[in-house]
Amino acid sequence: MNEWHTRPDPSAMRQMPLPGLLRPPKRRVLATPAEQALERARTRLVFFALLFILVFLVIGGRLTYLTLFNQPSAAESEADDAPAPSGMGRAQILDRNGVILASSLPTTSACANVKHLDNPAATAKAITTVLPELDAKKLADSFVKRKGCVPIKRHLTPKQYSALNALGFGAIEFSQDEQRSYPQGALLAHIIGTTDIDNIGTSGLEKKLDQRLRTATEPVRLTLDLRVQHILHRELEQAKEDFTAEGAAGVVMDVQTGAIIAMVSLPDFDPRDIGTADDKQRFNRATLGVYELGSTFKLFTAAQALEIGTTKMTDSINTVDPIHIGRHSIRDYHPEHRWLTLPEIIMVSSNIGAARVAEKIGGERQQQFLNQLGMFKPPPVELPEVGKPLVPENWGEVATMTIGFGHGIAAAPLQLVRGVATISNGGTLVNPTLLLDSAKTPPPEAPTIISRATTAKMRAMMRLVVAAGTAKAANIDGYLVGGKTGTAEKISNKHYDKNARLSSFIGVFPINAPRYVVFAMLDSPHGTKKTYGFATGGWVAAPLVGRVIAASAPLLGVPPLDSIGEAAADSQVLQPLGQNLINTLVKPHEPEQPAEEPEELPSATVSEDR
Amino acid sequence: MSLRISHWIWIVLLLGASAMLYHTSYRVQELEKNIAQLEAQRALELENIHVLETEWASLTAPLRLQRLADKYLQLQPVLVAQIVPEQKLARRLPRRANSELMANNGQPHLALAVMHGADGR
Repeated sequence: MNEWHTRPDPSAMRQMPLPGLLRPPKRRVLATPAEQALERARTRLVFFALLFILVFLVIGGRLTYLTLFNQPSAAESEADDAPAPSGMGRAQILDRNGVILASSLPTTSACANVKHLDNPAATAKAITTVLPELDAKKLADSFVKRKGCVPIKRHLTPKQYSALNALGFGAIEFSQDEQRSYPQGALLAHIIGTTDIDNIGTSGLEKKLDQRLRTATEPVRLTLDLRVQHILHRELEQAKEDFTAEGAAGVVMDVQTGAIIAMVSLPDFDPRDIGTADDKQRFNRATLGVYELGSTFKLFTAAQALEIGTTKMTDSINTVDPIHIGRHSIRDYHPEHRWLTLPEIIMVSSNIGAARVAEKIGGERQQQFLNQLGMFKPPPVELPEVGKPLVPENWGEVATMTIGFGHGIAAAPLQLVRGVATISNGGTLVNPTLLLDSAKTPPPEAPTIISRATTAKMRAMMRLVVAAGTAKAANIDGYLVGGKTGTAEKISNKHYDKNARLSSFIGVFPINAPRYVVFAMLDSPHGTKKTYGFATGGWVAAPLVGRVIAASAPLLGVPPLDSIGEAAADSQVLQPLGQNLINTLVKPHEPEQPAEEPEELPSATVSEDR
Repeated sequence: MSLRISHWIWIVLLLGASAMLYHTSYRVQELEKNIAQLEAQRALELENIHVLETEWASLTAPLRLQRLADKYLQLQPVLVAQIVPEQKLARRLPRRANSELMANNGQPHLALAVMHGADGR
């Protein structure tokens, strides 16, 4: 035995049978300390073995569970497959056909970490070689004065970024950023609006829907049709130039849903350089500007008179002499000096006649009706720029009469469009909207303002205006247009100015089964040789609306009528006027002989395949 | 102490199993790296598509097209008279196209007839 072996009794150890781990030897008195130690060791061994087995069982069980039973649920894997919201924070804005109107693009921003900046002046100078628009001295100053990462420039172009990076300063740090982009430029400036450098909406839909745009993962779809918007914009711009007008506005709206298909205000601005736009350019004339819109309001007077029965279609009204009331006198632009029926009053746009019709209605009922049409509140549209209408404080007899022909009350053009949509669609009040979702689900309880019978009469009178009245210039081939002109003198220095007018036309098409209302207004237009010096609604706005309808109706899916269909629809829509009036006012329609289909066709377009 | 055959078998099995386990676990790691790469690439592609779509929108912006058309093209706006209903068009088309056209009429479809002066107006 070795010396170091100091166990007291090695013989005892040898005698003891090696016990199986789990099969302890029969209990007996443990005599020797060696036996006691062995017993203790054995117990510990068993304990640890059991512990390990337990741990392995747990791990094994968990593994089995994870591999066999814990399949990712269908919802989770689907969520994985769905397109991740692309890094772009702010949601896109699309038109009704999915064309991008506003979008966020990834950009890079640069700042200089002052801690790692050895020579602020030299660094600032080097930076200005890449970004010449920055001032080296100011930049160096800011590096000295400020702490942390001092911003150099945000929204770098890729070129600027790589040039700045190539300078090789470790102190210049770059961060991912996003910038709002407006691919359509000025075309939608007033509707889409603008955002500031931090991508927070500052005007238009960007402001009104700021919260939604920031959180939405889906693009926001508008009711606008970019093509129609462009047509309206083009025609208004042309007319504004032709008649050297100060400004212009236009709206195209769906008469049933209130969906705004196009809305333009001129002058406009490019949202990409909002900084250089002046107040006039930023001003939305279609929703924020309130104007005395003049004769177009006669439609509301006529609609109410017919609805409550104070004036009938065949009643004659005295328009022989101007009305003198108090200090005021009400005159006609083209005096007829005779008794007129209601359709004739609308057709020749007689102020005297409209005033007399309004007088019969009475101020209280007039207020009630205009209130129902929403004329006393800002237009309920999803824009922050909405104008509160101006109504007389004291709604006396004079106010009642002048409001009868659209003076003494000022409302935004969108209000007028809403009102005309309502009286021509069958009498249901529409809510103007720019969001496709809201246009698709009209409110279930839209109030009915006028009856269908009155609507039919209104359509007939609006058609009469275009067929034989002040708006013959809006009479186009293929589409039956109805409407009303308006020419209002603008107030300057508290007096009506004969030479500064608002000339407008509001048209509805097809007037036999209205789908859309089109409004155009020119602010302070000047007559030209072509218009014989006239600058009234019938001369400047009516032809414009005619052109807009001719160009956009096919795009909106309204099929044109041939001459036979047109004549039939025309006589049907004019029916409520009564045969007498039709015979005297509208030249009897001579249905043109349907042009024989030309037998020979350009060979390029058709070739018989045999 | 001598090892029995069964012990050798167990040792071999154990080694085999751990080798398999390591192999699998490394494969999983590699695949996961692959997935992460692909997803990063996909995100990049989505972003690129997004940027390109915006660029496309600005290249096809009506104001820009109008400016270019005024400068380079001699096209006139389509006249209402140039638009005829499908049914009318059908008479002028070859027989086969004609029957196809008739098959889905019923809807007041618009068809653009590229026929200047064919209207008789």
